[in-house]
Amino acid sequence: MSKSGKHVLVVEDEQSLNAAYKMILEKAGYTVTTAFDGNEALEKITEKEPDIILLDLKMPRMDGIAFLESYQPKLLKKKPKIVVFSNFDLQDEIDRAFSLGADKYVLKAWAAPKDLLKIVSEVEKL
Amino acid sequence: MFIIPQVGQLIRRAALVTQVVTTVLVLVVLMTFTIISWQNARQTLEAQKLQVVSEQLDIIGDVVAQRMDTNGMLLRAGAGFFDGSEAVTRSEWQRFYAQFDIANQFDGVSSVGYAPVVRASDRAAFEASMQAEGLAEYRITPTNDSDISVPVMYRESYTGGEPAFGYDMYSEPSRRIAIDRARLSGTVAMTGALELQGTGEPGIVLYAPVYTRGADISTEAARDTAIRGFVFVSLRTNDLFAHVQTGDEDNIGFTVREVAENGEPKQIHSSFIQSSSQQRSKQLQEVSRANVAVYGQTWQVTLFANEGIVSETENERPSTILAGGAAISIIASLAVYLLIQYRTRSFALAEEHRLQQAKDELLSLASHQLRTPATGVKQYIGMVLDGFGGSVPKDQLMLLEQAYKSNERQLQIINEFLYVAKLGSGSLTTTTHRFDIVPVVQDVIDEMKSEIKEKQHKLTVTLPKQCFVDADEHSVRMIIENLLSNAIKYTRSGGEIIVALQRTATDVRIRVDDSGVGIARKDLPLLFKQFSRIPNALSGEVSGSGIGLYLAQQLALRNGGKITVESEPNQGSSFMLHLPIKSVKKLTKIKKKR
Repeated sequence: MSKSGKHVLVVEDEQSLNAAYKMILEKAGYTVTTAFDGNEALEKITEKEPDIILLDLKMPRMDGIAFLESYQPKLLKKKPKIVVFSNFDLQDEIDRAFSLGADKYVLKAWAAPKDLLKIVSEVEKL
Repeated sequence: MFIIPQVGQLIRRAALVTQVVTTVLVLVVLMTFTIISWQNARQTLEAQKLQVVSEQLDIIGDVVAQRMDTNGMLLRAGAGFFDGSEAVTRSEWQRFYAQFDIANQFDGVSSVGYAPVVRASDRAAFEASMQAEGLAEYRITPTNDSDISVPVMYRESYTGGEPAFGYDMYSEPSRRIAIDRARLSGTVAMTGALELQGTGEPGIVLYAPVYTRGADISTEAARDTAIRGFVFVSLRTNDLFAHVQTGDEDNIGFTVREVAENGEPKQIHSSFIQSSSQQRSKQLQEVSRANVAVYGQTWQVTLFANEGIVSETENERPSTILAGGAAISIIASLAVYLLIQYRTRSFALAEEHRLQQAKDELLSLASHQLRTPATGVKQYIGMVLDGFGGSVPKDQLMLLEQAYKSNERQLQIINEFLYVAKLGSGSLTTTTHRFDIVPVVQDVIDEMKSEIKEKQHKLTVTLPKQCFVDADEHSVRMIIENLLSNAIKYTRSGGEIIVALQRTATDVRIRVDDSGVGIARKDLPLLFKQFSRIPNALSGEVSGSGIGLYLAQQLALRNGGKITVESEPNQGSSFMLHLPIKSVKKLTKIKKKR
């Protein structure tokens, strides 16, 4: 488990999952900021730059793809690692996410709490 | 699930009808146009030939008439010479006709002469006067029973010496008719075709009457009384029109025939050297005929021609139009057919693609919606099990683990349904690449170790250090998970499970054996069918969707492999996944070629 204090931005519209990921990651030593859609995520990025973004795809108002199209990593000091963490598995959408800068895709349903930490830890090293 | 191909089929079927109907329509329209054009070309060709024939016939008719007019003029000149003199002596006659240079200037003239009308009573005196002029053997022959004779008195002969001096032309019926007609009509008259006297050549003779100077010749009776004699010209019909040319002797010929009142027409002239055989060899056919009135006779000019009277190009134009038009019609129809087919295919493909995308999105959305609540359950129970809420009493821990497994099973079923749906709609994408299968098998075993341990199965694993296959890694993982999961579930506690990997020359075989309940022989064919759950001793205790093995087999097939099974009831089962291996050498070669 990481005690690095890295900043993770959890972008997840499902409130229960959002809270669960926050708890799991904070317990593992990460600093966690949460957002419930793409718009909010864009705001949170300007407030505090994340090291890792855990990004859902299907969200109201602004979804994950729209977020990736809108955010400008060049304006940030360091480009954050992006894990697309979604139960939406349409191949075209996943390909699009990767073309827009995603570093990893994980089907959310397969990741137990331990797996989540493993994934974040791995992506840190990329 | 199978709407998309049906939509494509319906579009294609409807389009095929349109395609065939349009193509046939285009073909019919173009062929109709071609046939009309062909008929027009044929009519034009026929009209063109008719025009050529008509022109030729006019020309030949005119030439024949002119030729005869010229000979008529020759006669009239002689008659005028007699009419202008009291008496014409033999030497005057000779000098007169010498001027005409007949031998060179006139075709077919055999002789020009004068024959007086000699009454029976004057015959002896006439013969005597002729003999006195030096013609010692002059006799009027043959003897005729008429009161008058028309014996040859002067004669300038150019070929064959016809007719003989003293020959009574009135004795021959054909000549007599012409002589009488000339005498009574006061104009030139012509015999029918006859044999020329002396040579026996085919010929005709023209007569011009000479009357007593100053006599009344206004009536037939007066002319009969005033007749003195006849200037005649004998014509050889073989040579008469020898130099009349059609200008296209290979393709056009003509004949001149006398129209007899009775019997067969007699041929006066033929432009064919060897008439019938040449006509046949050139395939000349009669194309037109016309009558020409010649000094009381009717001649028939007949024109023979073949296809060559117009140029080869002109002759071939109709067939060229027909062949070209038919070819263009077929090519154009084919082009229309292919164009419609191409457009239909493109449209059907686009439509299928659009529907496929909609279907994929719907499937993904549905699975997303189904997975999300289960994901929440998984996270929270997982967190409790991981001690997020503090320590959990053992009996509660067991309950939570059951809940977690049940949730996992639900996620598994959602996933399997999604895969089956994707397989059905053809939207399942797999990526074949070369990978080491050993860690994958080991990983699956590790994931399921807790379940194996829980059921106290004895597990034997035989794996090589490395083994590469060409397949979709995710599919392979799912298949092995399914086979191992079934082995665990359908073997009573304390059973034995063997996982082994074997490589042959052509494939890699992953075997999962168990000492479980086994499968009856009759049920084996149902094993890989969708939604078929085979009843056995443990089926009441084990939950299942009935699609696990179906999905596993379908994934194996997509990867070029297959799953085989051997089983006996209560003797356990042996499932084997066969995966093809490609030659490394072959791959290297392909890469090099690229």
